[in-house]
Amino acid sequence: MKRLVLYALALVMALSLCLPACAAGEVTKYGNIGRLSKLRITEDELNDVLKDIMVNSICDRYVFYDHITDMVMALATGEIVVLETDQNTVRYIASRYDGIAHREPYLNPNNLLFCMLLRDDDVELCDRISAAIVEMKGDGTLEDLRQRYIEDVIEGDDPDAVVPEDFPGAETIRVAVTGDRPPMDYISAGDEPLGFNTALIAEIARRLEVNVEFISVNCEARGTTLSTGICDVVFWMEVGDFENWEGADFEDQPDNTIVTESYMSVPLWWAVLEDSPVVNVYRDQ
Amino acid sequence: MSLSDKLYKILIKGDSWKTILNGLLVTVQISAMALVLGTILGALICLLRTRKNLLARGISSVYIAIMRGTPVLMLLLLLYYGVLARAGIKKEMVAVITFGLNVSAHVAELLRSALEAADKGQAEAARTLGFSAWKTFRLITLPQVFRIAKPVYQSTIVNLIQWTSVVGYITITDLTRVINNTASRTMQPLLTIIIGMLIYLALSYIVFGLFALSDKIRMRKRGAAV
Repeated sequence: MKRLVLYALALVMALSLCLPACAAGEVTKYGNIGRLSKLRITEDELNDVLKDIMVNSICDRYVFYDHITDMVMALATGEIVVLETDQNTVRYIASRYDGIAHREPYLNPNNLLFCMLLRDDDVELCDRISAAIVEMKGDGTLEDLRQRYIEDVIEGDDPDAVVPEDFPGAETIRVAVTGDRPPMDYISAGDEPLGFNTALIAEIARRLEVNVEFISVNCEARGTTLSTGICDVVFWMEVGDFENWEGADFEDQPDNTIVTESYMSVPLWWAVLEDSPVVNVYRDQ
Repeated sequence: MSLSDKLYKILIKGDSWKTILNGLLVTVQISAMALVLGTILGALICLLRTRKNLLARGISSVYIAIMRGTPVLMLLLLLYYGVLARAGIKKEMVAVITFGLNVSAHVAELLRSALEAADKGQAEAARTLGFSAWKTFRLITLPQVFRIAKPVYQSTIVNLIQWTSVVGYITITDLTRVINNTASRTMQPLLTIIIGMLIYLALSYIVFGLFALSDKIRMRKRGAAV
């Protein structure tokens, strides 16, 4: 009798351990996922929009950070288990930070489109920039710049900053750069905007025959500097976020602004710790 | 990557030490100018605050309450993006005005409390001995006020240096912003932030050191006089 009770207890314990994991194909959650703060939508709003999709994710919820470096530290200390941003930035982080690996996201992939942000009364300038971007896509200039200032930099190259041409008497556009999105937007050791941002803007300015002034702003102050006229163009804004996820529609573009043609489309990508259990968890397993 | 490699990347490569020094210089300049402005303004506010005139006292009390009760970052954003946006004032000057206004409220209160703590009997004795009101204030009350206010004043200076770390919000590249940019570029946030903290700490201890030095000089002079 005693043995029977013991067997029954052991069976109940084994079932209680196994059943929750098997119930209705529920996915094991490992922790939170970090993202850079959006311009408009808040952390709670995004999690609300994505709540049905996140059921299938191995992460609990999205947590916003204002700086890439804050997010890297959160990842390193285990506050988040995944750092999610564009593939270029994730590869840059993985190439510079010991112990961080990059991998594809667990759920079906999305692309981030990068555009420049302008005030809605600057339609003409927006159209001219968009036309220049389309032209640069067509003649291969954009791809050359991407190779030189993104791919080569991720591999360890350290190119010089591109100095925009001077057009005496021409109008000057003030471009806000954050320095917080390497290798796309970062600041050199000599405190100069350096890399893809300067190269792309310098090329656009050359084609439009305008002068450029770079203004270094905090990532979270981009919207304010644009709306108050401190700058004319914000170098980067993410659009098309989660477009492959049905039902994940939200508006992140600030009021009274317009965006240019996108100059880059990059997959959303994950940075994880090399010794994290998340590193080898794939959906088809 | 070894620690020395990381330090080389953060501090040496591409003359980044020059950029860090420039950021430090901006922090020191803004702090020093704001301190001068804040001290002068604070003394004037204190003067109003200690008047018998109700209006003067009321205005100065409200000013102090607003400046001490609101975050300095909010004031900075309000002045830069709002009130002074079209005034054509340089962003560094907006920062000096902002921190000067904020510090003035703290200085006004610390001067008032020092004035109240000063020994009134000595002032009365001086007046009885025939000193004029101004002479009594200058020779008897003021030295006591300085002595009483000094420890709090040095803390205010150190706080001011730390408060200026938010000027990156108005596109100024100060020490904090340089540290952030360096952390992003090198992807060594922990080490870079520790270096930034050590620089701020050194700056604070220079301030404490200067005050300690002035105390020593004063004591030596007093000793020589005795």
